[in-house]
Amino acid sequence: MKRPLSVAVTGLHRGDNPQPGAAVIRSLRRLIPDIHIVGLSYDPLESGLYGHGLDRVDSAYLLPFHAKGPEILRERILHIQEKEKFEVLIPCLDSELSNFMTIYPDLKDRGIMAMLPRRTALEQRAKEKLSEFCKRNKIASPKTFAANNATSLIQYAEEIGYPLYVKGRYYEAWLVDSPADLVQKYDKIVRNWGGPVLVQEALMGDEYDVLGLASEAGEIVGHCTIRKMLRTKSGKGFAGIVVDDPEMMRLAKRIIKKLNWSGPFEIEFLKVPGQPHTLFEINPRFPAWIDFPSQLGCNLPVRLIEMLLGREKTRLQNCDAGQMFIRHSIDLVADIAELAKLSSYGNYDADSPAMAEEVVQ
Amino acid sequence: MQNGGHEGRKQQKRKGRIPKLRFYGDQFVLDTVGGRFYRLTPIAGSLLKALIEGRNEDQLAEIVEKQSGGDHTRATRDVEFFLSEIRSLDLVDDSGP
Repeated sequence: MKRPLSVAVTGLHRGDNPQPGAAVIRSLRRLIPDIHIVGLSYDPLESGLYGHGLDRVDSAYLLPFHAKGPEILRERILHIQEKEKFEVLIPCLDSELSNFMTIYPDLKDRGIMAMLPRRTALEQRAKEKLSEFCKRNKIASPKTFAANNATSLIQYAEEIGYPLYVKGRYYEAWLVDSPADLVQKYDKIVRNWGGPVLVQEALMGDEYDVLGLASEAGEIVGHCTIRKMLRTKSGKGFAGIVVDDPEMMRLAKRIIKKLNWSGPFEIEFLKVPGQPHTLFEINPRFPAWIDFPSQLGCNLPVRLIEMLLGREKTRLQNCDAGQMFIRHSIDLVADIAELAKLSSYGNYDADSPAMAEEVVQ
Repeated sequence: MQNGGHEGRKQQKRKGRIPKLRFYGDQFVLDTVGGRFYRLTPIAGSLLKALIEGRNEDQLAEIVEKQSGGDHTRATRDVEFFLSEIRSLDLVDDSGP
């Protein structure tokens, strides 16, 4: 019997700030029902490890934290590969990409395929460098400065004016309206994520996201654009509606071409009435709402697999303006035995008899 | 704001457009470009549809007169107010209908 396709996915937590992994898995299972999913996680409490529906993982493994560096990650991935023989890896977190890019030649030698951006492209869109990229390419962007100490950050903040956003290099963003507030949030971000920390002009307007997948040649092969209808406190989209804005798409295509981007992406724009579309972030991965276009017939995780493995391509439908999503939180039921095994041994297999028996009790 | 010259100029060229509006019945409309949606009064719905069909301000005022039974002066003022409102919502731009 032919062995089912095996794919490893990271970024499995879906809290109020959801990671994309579980949505990527849902998309994959929609068109490849017999797929084998290897969940790669940094914390045994990542909620996606306990899913039993379309987004379930068939086996799960803990990974070393990013700060441990690429070598330890390489050893761990190759160890997992020996057992799981997965063919494709889909990294879903910004902070892990650099390590995966470093070890990718070794992974490819062992038969693991991934679609990663080029390092120059990844660096050009980094939050602390995006402003420079925009200036070079005549794209509107909010004033942004990066600093490694609070004193410089306060000086930059004075140049921008309050209120403004203070942001971590990878994650976290806060709206602050005073130097005291700025320093407090600076300390918090440095503790969690390290430096540099950014200050960014706060523009008030509607937020739009373009998600897509780009070919090796920097061409967009599929996309979906939304306006965020509801936002969480941290600015994450909790509901969105598809829009058809040709101007925004022209700009997105130009950005992807200029970066010579390949692989998944999410471009975030802001529209302030009477002003040009303003680029404020490019995320180097699928976003957490990737399963929404998949449900509309634009399944980009599956297209990614097809591109990597040279499979016949499934047709991608256009996402029609007016289609919308609203995020919906649910309670997953799990057994402490699953958590115990993952915490103690660093892995578990959802099909193992011991686990099944314990779950049934 | 930084830069924006290139894109800004491009957007200037689009003056005069009416965004693609999609009606759901007579009293709910979606701007498919901006993703914003609006509930409309019955008269506002009629005016917006007439505007899309290319009617001028006088013709819009006639619609108001007919539907509300008011006089022409008042209807003209109401149409001006309506046009100003929808311009501020970016549904039509400064160059008007």
